[in-house]
Parts: sequence; C-alpha cells; structure tokens
Amino acid sequence: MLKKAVSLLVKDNLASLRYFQAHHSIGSHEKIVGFVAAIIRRLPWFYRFPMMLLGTVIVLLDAVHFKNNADNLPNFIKKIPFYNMFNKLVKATTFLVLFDICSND
Amino acid sequence: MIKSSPNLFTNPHTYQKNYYCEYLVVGTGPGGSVAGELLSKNGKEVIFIEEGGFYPPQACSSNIGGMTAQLYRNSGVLPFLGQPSFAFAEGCCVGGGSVINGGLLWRTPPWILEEWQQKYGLQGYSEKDLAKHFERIESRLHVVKHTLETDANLDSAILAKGADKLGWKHVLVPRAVKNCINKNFCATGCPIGTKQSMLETYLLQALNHDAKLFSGLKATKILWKAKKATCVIAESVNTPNKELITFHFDKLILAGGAIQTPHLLRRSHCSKLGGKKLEFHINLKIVAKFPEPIESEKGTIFTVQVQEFEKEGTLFMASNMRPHYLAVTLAHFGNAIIDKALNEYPHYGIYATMIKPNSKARIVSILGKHPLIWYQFDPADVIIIKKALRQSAKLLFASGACELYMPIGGTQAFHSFDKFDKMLDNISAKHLEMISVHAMASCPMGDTHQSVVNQEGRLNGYDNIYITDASVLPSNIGESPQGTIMAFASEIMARHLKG
Repeated sequence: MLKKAVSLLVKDNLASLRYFQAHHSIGSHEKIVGFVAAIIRRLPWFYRFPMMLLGTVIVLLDAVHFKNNADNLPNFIKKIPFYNMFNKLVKATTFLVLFDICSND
Repeated sequence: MIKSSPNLFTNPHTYQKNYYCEYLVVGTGPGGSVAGELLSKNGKEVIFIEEGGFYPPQACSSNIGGMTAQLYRNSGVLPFLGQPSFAFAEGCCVGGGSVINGGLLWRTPPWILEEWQQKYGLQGYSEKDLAKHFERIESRLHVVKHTLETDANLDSAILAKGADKLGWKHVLVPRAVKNCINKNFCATGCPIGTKQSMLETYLLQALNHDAKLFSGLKATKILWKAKKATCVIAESVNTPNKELITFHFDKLILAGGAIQTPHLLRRSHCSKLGGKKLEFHINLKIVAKFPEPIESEKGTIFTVQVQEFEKEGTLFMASNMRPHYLAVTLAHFGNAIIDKALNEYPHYGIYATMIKPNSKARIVSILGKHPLIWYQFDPADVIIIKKALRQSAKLLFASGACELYMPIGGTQAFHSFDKFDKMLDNISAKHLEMISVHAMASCPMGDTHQSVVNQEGRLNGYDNIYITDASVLPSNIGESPQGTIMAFASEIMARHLKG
C-alpha cells in the first residue's frame, strides 16, 4: 500500500516536469518509487505509521473513486494532518534521486 | 586516509556479545574523535561505537540520492515538528558530521565565550584558554582559506562583490581541506579525501594508537548503579537479525550529537534536564538567477561568508549547487519554475542565510529508541527572519541577481528589492520553508541550576560519564560549531587526563 501511495504521489509530482518527460526511460519511475518508499520504511515508527495509514487512505480513495489518478484527489484529503508533510517528503526525496536515475538510465 | 584497519570493525554479525575497555566513546563525529584520539594517544584503552556505517572516500560516489541515504540519519529526513515543521539534516556515519559538512572550521566568536563566562560561569574556556586547542586543531586539519578563483566558485565571488558594493564585511572561509580541487561533493562525502574529515585525521590516529571502532551499532541504554555507569547496551543497525552487544567500561564518553546524547541519557534515566532545551540554527535557502552564467556547480561549498550582521547571528554564503538541490529548493514553486531553472542552469546559484533563532526545541524520549523533536516557534523569530531575508535580497540584488526565489510559500520570483520588501510584511511563520543542520546546547555546561554537565564535561550526579559533543555548548553560538566542539572536547579531555 505504501509503495502504491508513493507511486501515485511521485507520478503526480513528476507529471508536469518536462525534464523528467525528456530524460526518463522505462523503469525510471519504479526506481524512484523504490528509493522513496525505502526511505519512508526506514523512518522511526511514529513517522512511518501515520504515513502508511495516510498512504492507505489515498490508495483506497483513488481505487474506489478516482480510477488511479492522484491529480483528482479531493481537497479534503490534502487537509488531513500529515498530508502536506508526506507529500513534501515524497517530493524532496524524488528530486534527490531523480537526476541520478535519469542520468544513469 | 582510512581504507581499512585491523582495529576497524564493520560487520555486527561478527562482533562478540561483550567487550571490556577503559574508555567507551559513543559517536565518532568531531567531539568523539578528538576525545578518543587524545585518550588513545595517552595510552588509554579506547573503544568507539558508531551507529552509522563506514564510508571511506573510495566508497563515496557521485550518486547524490544514494549517498544521502547512506550518510545521513533517516536519509536526511529528521523532522523538527512545530509550526512550521522543517527538516534537520544530521550525519550518521563513521566520522559523523565531518564527513558531510562543508569543512568549515571557525573559532568560537569571542563575544559568545564572554557571554558563557558571565552567564554560565565557565572558567578556562576563554578565547585565550582555547587558543592552544584551536591552533592544534587547525594545524591537524590543515585549515586553509580559499582564494577567490576566476574559474570556479564564481557564486561566492559574486557575493563578495555584492558585499563590497554595500560596504558589508565579508571574509574568506577557513576550511579543513588539503589540495581541494573543487569536486563539489562535500555534502555527500569527499570522494578523494581532500576534505579533512575525522576519517582522514583524528580517527585514523586513534586507530593507529590501538583504539578499536565498531560501526553499525546504536547505543540504546546506559546501565548504572550508585551513580556510576557500568555498561552500554548497543543494538545492531540495518541487519536482518538484531544483535545486542554489551560494552563494559571504566569511563563513558558520550559524543552522539546534541540530539542523540540527551536522548540516550533520558532513556537511561541518567538525566532529567538533558534534552529539555535544544538550540539550533535556521537555514533559509534562496535561489538567485544572474544575467551572466556563474556556473555555481563549478566550485566547492561556501568559500566566502558575509558577516556584516554576525553579532545578530545572521550569516550569508553560497550553498552547494547540483540539479538535485536546485529542484528541492525550488519544489514549493512548482514544476514550471524547476524546468525553467534546469534549462538555464548555469545562470543559477543557491544561497544560504543562516540565522540564530530564539525558538527552542525539546527532545521527546518516550517513544522508544528514536527521539522525536518538538519545537516552539518564537514569534520574535518572524521579525529576525524577515530582517535576514531583506538583507539577503539586498545583498543578492547588489551582487547582480535579476531574479530571486525566496523560501516563502505562495510567492513567485522577485525582480526587485522594493517588490520583495513590500510583500514581506504580509508573511507569517507558516509560509516559511526552513531547514536546519546545526543543533547544540541540549546538555549545557556551566554552574547554573539548568546546567547538565560541569566545567570538566562530566555529567552532573555521575562519577564516570563525560560529554564531548555539541550538547555541552551552553547556548547557540551562531556559527558552524565544529571548531568549537573540537576545542571543547580537547579542553575536557585535557582536564580529565591531568586528573
């Protein structure tokens, strides 16, 4: 569930980034998601569990209502405590690894 | 340079269940390395334990994300929770912060030492008293000042020009480097060993004097009896099966840093005061675009520091530039701005404004072996931050910047100081994008009722526990603390060895 949630947010964060569209190859997205998810899994439990819970909520809502498109997450989800922190973490760690993956591909 | 040593152990599965030594040093950052080296040089039996892994220069690649995940605690993600929350970046590897910092080595500002003497009763820690330690440290670490080149570090050179225009004080930065060739990988481990981290210097010497170092072990509990520590229980980190190793000692030196040291003390019921207060610096990153290319990536980190407002605790310098850091710093502006910056990359530089806030944090140690850091944002800091951002904008526009991207959510690029100045009145703390890399003063030294260690660095109430890291600094020094930490560690150990 966590990896799926991270995948949705990574996709959302990179969808409009032309650099990524121009430089990525098959497998780039999965490598980035793997890296970000691994970092979250290594966090202390009091950060990790709320993120995993929130991730589960995002994935379930996406699956039930929005057909796998994180762009259509309703605003109330973004107001849930920790959402901004979660997305900020995903975005920052995505950017930290993006250029290494795209240049190695 | 450490490549390997018969006294360096990196695989917890091969460790014994019990070890015995004269001195156990927890942590191998600057404070722990100095302490362990001085002790081993004086014939003492020393064991270091270090939570992080061992990454010598040859193990440091150009893969920024991967190296960040390996060298930093929580892969660089250690939140300070509050309004607003921000990330704290701390080294967690053999050599500690010295492996991932910029190698800056400042002496403690004299006015800070005077304040400590007057307010906290420190004796023997004056500018004159510490001078001998600083001289030795600067010599050992080969501290030099960069000259301003014409083909590298142009982001720093341009900052100096801006400061000259305004008549503001700026200095060349003293750095612990030997033949630096501007590879610009300081923050993810110098791959050629020219940055004089503890790996190249004190730790190497300690191992040569027969100290032993066990990496991949986190100290989780101090056991004590009748106010005397008897052993430390350490747990293996990042291993499939958890290994528990017990280190028995005569004396314990704690040097895990300003967060981990008080956390360990609190978990072990050794101190109620430790970690009740934690001081830190706030870094505000500004992205500046210049009409001409400045090629910020060509060069190393911080070679010039603008110190006009040093006594207020505000400093300005260029920060390290890579596409990774540029994207992270511009993240709150959206992908269109990131794409624009990447397309015009040679024109951009990242600048750091460091401030000394009034805000204080505290360490919460009831959630297990990892601390939670909670801080209370002091409203007065908004005024300090606004002033610092105004000064930064003035400096960068004077340096020739044509666009500034400020660490303020909900804003766009600023093309003039006046427009920025006008907007700034409307911002509040929640808009700020902050980070921190320096924490200190969580187990302050002194003679007051709030002091946690005495003037000998010994934990109050205990016969054999000493602290030699940033925790013992009595208050916020407003400057990179590595030099001060090492000088204090030297003085504490000198007094201890003298008896």
